[in-house]
Amino acid sequence: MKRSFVFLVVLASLLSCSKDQNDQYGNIVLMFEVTYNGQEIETGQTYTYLDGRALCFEKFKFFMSEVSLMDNSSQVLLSDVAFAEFDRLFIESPGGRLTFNFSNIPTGNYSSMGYNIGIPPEINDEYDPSNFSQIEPLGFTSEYWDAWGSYIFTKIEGNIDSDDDGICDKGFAYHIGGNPSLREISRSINLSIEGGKTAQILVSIDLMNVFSDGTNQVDIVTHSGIHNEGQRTLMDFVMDNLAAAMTVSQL
Amino acid sequence: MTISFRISLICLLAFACQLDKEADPIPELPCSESLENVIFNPQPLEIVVPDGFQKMRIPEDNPTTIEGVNLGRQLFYDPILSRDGTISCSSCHQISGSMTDNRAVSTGIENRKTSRSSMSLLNIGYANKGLFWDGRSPTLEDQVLIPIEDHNEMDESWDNVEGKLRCHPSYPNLFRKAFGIKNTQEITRYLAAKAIAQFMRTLVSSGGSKYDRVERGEAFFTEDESEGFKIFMDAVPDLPDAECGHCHAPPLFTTHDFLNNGIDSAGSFIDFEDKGYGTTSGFSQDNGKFKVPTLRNIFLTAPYMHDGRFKTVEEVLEHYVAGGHVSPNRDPLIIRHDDPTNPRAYMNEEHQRQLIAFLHTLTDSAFIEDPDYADPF
Repeated sequence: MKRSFVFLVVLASLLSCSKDQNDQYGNIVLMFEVTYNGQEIETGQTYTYLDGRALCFEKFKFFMSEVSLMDNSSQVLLSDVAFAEFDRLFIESPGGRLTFNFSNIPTGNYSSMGYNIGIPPEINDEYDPSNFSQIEPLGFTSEYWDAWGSYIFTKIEGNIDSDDDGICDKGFAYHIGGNPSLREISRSINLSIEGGKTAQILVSIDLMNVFSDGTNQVDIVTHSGIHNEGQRTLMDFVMDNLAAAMTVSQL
Repeated sequence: MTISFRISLICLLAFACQLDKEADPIPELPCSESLENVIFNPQPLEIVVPDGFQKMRIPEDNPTTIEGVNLGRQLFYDPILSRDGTISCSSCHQISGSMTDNRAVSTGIENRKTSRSSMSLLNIGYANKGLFWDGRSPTLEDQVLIPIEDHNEMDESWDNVEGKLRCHPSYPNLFRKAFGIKNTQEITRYLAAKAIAQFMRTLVSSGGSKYDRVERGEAFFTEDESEGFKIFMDAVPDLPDAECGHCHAPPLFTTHDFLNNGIDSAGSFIDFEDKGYGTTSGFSQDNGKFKVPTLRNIFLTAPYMHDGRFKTVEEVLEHYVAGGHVSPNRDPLIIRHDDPTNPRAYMNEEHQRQLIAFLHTLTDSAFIEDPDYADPF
């Protein structure tokens, strides 16, 4: 009898804990989709650049940091640093979405979400891949540029037609980093996190808008490589456009 | 009468069969012996890496121990793994060649030729994107299983290897010490692979190359080496950018990625003769891509590329300066460096000489002389 009572109390406690957890926390799936002029991107496919040249994509990736949800009075940090890499999606699942799952989000209404494109100075100045293991994003030596002493905040690589024959024949590589390249993203949302349920947020990026601010556009054939601090103006142009190109919607 | 005779004959045959069956001894497993009298007390081994290197991730199910590394090292150097006892792992991964065999393609038993050059195992414990030139093995433990049964390499079956190891005079005790097995029958290919993987993870740069010493402030580059480093890393705008450091990023001087570096022409994705990573991934866009090798000890690992087509570093550089061959997935960073009208890319002879001077600073003599990596037999 006594044993049965103890068992029932424990079971009731477990159930109530579980119920409390469900009541107090929900989940978020943060998704990213990348297009070019509204078209899904596939490695090997040819797109038309703003100047009419053939354009092909190989890589697109960026660091996100301080991914957060905000309500009027508080901020919920979802992730310190995350790495969004679309290279394999361009091959294996064109038009697919890159997803990040976050759980144990306090229930409530959130009015905005935000993140940085890049790594904040307090990390970028103090750490390099040697402080991490090879499977952590900040441990990826491919995403760190020794000559700057900085993580590469974003990479966009592909090929463009350089001789007007319609064939993507000249490589371009935009590797942008350094503290001045950090961009803060903040978007208004009206998100309700309900206990035990999963909300979905979609960030859409159209790469065509990364190369143009609506008035000026990058001459990719002339400026085929960006990975030098001397190209700060061009870096800022691309990073400003990338930040502006990210639109957020709730699903 | 005829029927009775037949029945008698059948009974006789059945009885004879029964006699034979009873006469057969109960088969015993060969070399089934208890090992519990051997002390099992493995000592954790910390893999020490040079300053500036990442923390090496060790799989939780295969922690590195002194006993595991010792066993792995013996297996690595023992031709017992091959069918005819002539080829060991070390046949194709020789310490003098920074764990390559310095041949265009490796040679297996009976002088059989493989289709690929042996890759350097230097710092292989950091490889986390797939092993082999085509990335077919996800982990070191998985990779070790392959060459034993490859027809052109060791051409042995793991069943036979397990049998040889179980009956060996010394290996059962070594397996016991490394993994705590209680009986020789518990020796498996998977434990052998774990041991060899443990040894391979210890194959780390010594930190004694000139490059490493300069990084630590213990030495200085010559002027040529310094200029070559700047060209390699695109460190200054008034020198050409050789684009090397993207794929051969320090400190490992590889990113372990799979890329098409323009060594073959192809009109479409399906036109590559050796499809490389595409065979592994199953996506045609990956055809013609191969694993980026480390440039550490590059002057010890000739010849170069997955098929050893380039005999010297100078030949490799000539290939890259020319911009490589055209194909639909040639990496965007493989661009011409022979156009004098494009000073940010143009690599004249002096620049090439300086770049090569820098690459010499990546030679790590202490690694190839380390007695911990040498043949234990």
